[in-house]
Amino acid sequence: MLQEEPVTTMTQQYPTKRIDCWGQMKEIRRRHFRHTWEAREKGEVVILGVFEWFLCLFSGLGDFANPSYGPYYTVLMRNPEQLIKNLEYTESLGFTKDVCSSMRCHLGQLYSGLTTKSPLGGTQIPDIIFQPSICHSVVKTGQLASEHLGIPYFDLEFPFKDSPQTRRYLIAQMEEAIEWMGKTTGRKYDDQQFLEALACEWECMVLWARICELNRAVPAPLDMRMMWSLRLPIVTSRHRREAVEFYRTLFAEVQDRVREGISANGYETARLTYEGGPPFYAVNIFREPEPYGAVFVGGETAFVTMAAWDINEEDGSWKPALTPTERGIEIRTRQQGMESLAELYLKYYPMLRWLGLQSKPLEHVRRAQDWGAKGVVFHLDRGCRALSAGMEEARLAVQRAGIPTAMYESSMCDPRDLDRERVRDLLESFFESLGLSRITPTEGPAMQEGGNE
Amino acid sequence: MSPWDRFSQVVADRHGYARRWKERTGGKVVGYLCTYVPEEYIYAAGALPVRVLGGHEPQDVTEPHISAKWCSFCRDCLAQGLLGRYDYLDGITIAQSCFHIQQTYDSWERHIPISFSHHIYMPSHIHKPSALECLETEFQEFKEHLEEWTGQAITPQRLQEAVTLVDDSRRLMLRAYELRQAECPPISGTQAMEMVLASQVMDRREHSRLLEEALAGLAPQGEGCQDEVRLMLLGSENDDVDFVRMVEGLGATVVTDDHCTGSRSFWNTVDATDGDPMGAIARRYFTRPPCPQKDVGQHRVRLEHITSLARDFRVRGAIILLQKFCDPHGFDLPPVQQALRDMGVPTLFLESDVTLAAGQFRTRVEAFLETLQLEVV
Repeated sequence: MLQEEPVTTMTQQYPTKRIDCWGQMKEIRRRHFRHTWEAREKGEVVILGVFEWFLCLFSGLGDFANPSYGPYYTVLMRNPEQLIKNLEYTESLGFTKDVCSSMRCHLGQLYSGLTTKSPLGGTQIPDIIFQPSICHSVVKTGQLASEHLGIPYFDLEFPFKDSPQTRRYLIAQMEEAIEWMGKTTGRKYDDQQFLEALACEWECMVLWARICELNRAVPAPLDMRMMWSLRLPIVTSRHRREAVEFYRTLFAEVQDRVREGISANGYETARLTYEGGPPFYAVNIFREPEPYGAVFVGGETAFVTMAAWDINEEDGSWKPALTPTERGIEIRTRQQGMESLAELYLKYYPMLRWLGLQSKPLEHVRRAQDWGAKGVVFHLDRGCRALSAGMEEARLAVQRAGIPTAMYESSMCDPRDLDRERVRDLLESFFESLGLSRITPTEGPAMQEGGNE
Repeated sequence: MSPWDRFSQVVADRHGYARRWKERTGGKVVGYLCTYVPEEYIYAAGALPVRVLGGHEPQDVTEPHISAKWCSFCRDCLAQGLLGRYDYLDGITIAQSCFHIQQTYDSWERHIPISFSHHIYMPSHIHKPSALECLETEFQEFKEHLEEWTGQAITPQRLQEAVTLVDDSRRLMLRAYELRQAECPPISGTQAMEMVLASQVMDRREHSRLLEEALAGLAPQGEGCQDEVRLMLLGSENDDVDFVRMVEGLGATVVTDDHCTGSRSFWNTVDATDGDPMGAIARRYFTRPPCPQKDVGQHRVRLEHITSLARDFRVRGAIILLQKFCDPHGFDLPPVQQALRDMGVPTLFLESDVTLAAGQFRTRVEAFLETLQLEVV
């Protein structure tokens, strides 16, 4: 006979409320997607492939559109049926299902003609492809995209370790990139615009680290679902002044929430961290702890891939980096700018260091400890090598530090790889193994009452 | 025992060979995980470089370290280490290539006691001039680390001697491969694979002596191959001698390959003639036939190399063998198939998980060979 699950009726533990600047984030997001299709008419450059890194480097060309891994990528994530058709189309061309689902989505848009199909009518072929290569999947895809569209391609290699020679290599590539962009687009590169955008990129990433740091507070002022959305301006617009203004506002607001004890969801029976990316078509996976009153207080895709951290190499502890201005460093020339950008990504951006793997387990442990995690959930992506590199070793290290873990498997962009019910069962068992039980909130649930979607 | 039998024996008993070498010479043995590691420096330091290869058997020891969704070869290599098969290694090293083998290195360094480990940051974007300076500095650091560990100074003279040693070995293997262009190749694909694998696990001095002897005893043409289908092998790492033997047992001759356990490892030489062996070594690794992970620029190098091999060796068909979850090769698969198709070379795509699915593969290869023979009829 099945036993009924124990349910505890609970009064809301902490006050909660909506994020006031949520609308500002949505407006930046809207402008970004609209700009993808309006930039050409404004005489701006359209660059495919970039994603979220080194955005300031392109600002020397003036404003630009960045359709990233295909202009319909996020649209497809909201339409799993269409997404699967798109992936199947890529596979019908001979790409195996084991390669990165995100890039299969990119290629599907490309080969089916979606990439160049403007919702405003007509076609829009990007001017260039610029691919910062965080992994071999993106750089190989950039190559394929260039061949298919017949447009110039530049690949910028991210070295996975910080040394004098890797910094020189990265800086030399930036010089080559600036020269190449000038030649291929016929535009004069404006150093001043680059430096202004660089200051924005730095500040956005530092501010985001500070916001993540505020989430050490009990109760956590934000949860992963909120952070996943609030990080969007960093993804699309970290080189823009409007993004800096947004993160300044958000930082102040989150400080207020901490001061006033305002929580993300009203409950915090347990704090958890979430490592790896979410399935993009099912980001509500971040809400799985809510019925137990628990909360994901952070994780890799919120903390690591967006922020500038100063990590102590000896003990693995995390603190937000300081901007060059805060360190009294003046950046006046293109050379100084490129050096600063290399420093930002090679020294203060943990994602790249983690691809070298050595430091990842220790830094995972320290982050879980310092953010007070009672358990850690890992998402092992079948095809994303960058996010799942070293994950098993990190999990072992976290377990050995006495923190329980759970791991589930799927693909960030392939709904066929996510068995939602099985994953829910796994996570529920995990939460129960942590001593949590389902709650019946007397007020809430928070995301409807006071949170944001 | 013929030199070919000796190669075969060394490959089968590579751990015994290395142990005996160590006992005999008192030297150190350094395992390496990718053929972008510059063996020249290891020889110059007086050590023996040994490539770490898989065991081709089911294993259950890597799951806590590398997920099953990662390349089966890389997991197999780590399994060999965790199972103690490489307990004679004094050091382990890697040159940055794919994420998969990088995981093997990291877990090896973390869990298997070893007195020396070194990671070389080998840039992927080797078509860029700026990458060369980075690699030269990485090699310099590797050299200094080896010197400190072995206590052996790597003088320009010692380095030049090591370059000559490895280059001579490469030239001999290239000569052996050229013989396979013959109408009736005097060397089988199985022999060729064992020859190359042996060069990666045995002392190249001995390997070259044996190979010279073997080549001296060869007629320019083999015998009894009139009806055999000339095949090329390419794809992920493939050291599966049994697979090649099985394919050749079905009426085919493997005449060439694009594998790091084959032609890619020796196709070009250092040729340090300008008095700068370190620069020449770096340039050699940049200009060798690249693996997909190093062929990332706007103008692909790999396709030209593969199609020229197919043309020069007059192949009738190609078998593309991918290790399951090998994404660098996965992204190259459609363009490679297309390039070969464009020159009239049909391909058979097989996916391996290190252990040989003999029955299934035999059926598929047989069917492939039949279609190629039908084309001739």
